Amino acid sequence: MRFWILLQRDVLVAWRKKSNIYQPLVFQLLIVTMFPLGLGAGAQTLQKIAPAVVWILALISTLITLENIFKDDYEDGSLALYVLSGMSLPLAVLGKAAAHWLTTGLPVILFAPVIAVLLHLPSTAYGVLMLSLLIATPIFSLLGTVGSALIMNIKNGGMLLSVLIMPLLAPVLIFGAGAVLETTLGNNPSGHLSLLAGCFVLSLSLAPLAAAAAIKVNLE
Amino acid sequence: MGSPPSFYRITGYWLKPLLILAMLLMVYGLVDGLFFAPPDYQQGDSYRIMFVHVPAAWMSMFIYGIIGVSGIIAFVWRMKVAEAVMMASAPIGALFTALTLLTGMLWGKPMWGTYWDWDARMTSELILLFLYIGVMGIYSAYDDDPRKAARLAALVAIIGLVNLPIIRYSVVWWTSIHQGASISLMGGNSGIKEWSMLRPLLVMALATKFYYLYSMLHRARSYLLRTEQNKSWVIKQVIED
Amino acid sequence: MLTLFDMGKYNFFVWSSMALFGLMLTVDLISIHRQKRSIQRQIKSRQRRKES
Repeated sequence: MRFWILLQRDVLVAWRKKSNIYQPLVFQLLIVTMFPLGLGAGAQTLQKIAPAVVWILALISTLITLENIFKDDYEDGSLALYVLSGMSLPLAVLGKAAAHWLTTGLPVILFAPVIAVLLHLPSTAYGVLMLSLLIATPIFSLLGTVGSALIMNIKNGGMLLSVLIMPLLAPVLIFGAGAVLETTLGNNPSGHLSLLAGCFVLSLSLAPLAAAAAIKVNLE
Repeated sequence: MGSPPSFYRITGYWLKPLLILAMLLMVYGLVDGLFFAPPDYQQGDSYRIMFVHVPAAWMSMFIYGIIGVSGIIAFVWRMKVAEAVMMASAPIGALFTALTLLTGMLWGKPMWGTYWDWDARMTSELILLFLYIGVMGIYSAYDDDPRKAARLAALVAIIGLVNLPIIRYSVVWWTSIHQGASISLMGGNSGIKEWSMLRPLLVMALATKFYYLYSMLHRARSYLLRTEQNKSWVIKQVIED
Repeated sequence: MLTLFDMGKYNFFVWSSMALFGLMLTVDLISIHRQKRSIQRQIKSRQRRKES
């Protein structure tokens, strides 16, 4: 029950401050403009790098939003309240992750076709692109709670956060971008996708525990 | 051994013998490897890089294992000595990882014709370096509270330890799909059955282990002095020295 | 004697690897001792302040 209240509250807070939602998308648009400028506008060149670029952009634009998942709650003391209220902390983390996914992951998925069009991604790959992002963006949010919980009371912890979770995201990128790439080459992406789903299950079960442990240490 | 004062006292006797042993083995191993081992029939003299590259690579993984295990001990049982061992291992492990990457590049140039190749070994070694940097980075971010810093660093180390097999597997799988089999750096190594080539390698592996022990214990002792500096045993120790 | 040090066309690669190894050990040894000395000095000066 509390899980839903927490989720609702977080989504509402994010919704009130709409810049949280559209900033990652604007960021993606800015970066994707730089690729043709730096690389040449040839459709063939762009097509070749499109699977990787769409994926990396989704990843980076999520990465820049992770720092604040717990920061506000830590600073105004509501995080300490969750702990004191006896609410299961991993469950609270799950709520935060779900809210983060709804407010950044989902917009990123919906925006991905726009980026894909700009990069001439072959039309056969759109379905797999959306599907792979649908599996992977929750992983970003879940692992993000771990990183965010580790750095929540550090000033300018963004760089450290990237260092901490980049190794964790490497397999996700390999399988996710790999699935899209295989599709553009005319191969079956199901192997990549099922491994991606495996990553999702793993992070769903372990990330809340790790994030909860980090929060406990930080509040001690 | 479990309490900081007795750890400090006992390891004090070990430092000099460890350093001397490490240096003697290193001199013997390098002289043997560079001058007495016969050149490889395929790689010529370039394979001699192996005598520092391979032991360094072994150490880079071995030390991360130590960090992970002492991280678990530090996180679960809150042992100060385990915290000291963990944080003392990180810099030397990162150094060995960097050395592995650099010597690997220097070996790759004559063998593959390029300093860098995104093959599975090099990529996962690079990610291992990020893991080391992460452990040290989170610690230094919480520098004003060493206990909390150590606990969070332990958590990062444990997360890294859990992920290491996944990273390793995914990277191997990734390279096997995206490119044909590149000449493995260890290609020459698998053919090494000659004792005169194997001997310096094993001696160097032993030497780096002893050097790691020396460096780690030395740092762990300094770490304990710093984090326990208000305790009476530290003050007595320092004035005695 | 000089032929002993000659690694053929691999001179640069072999010897710079060895140099890197030596450099790494030196950096490590220096940082170990500097760390130890600074922490000891710090404790001593605090102790003196407390006594006076």
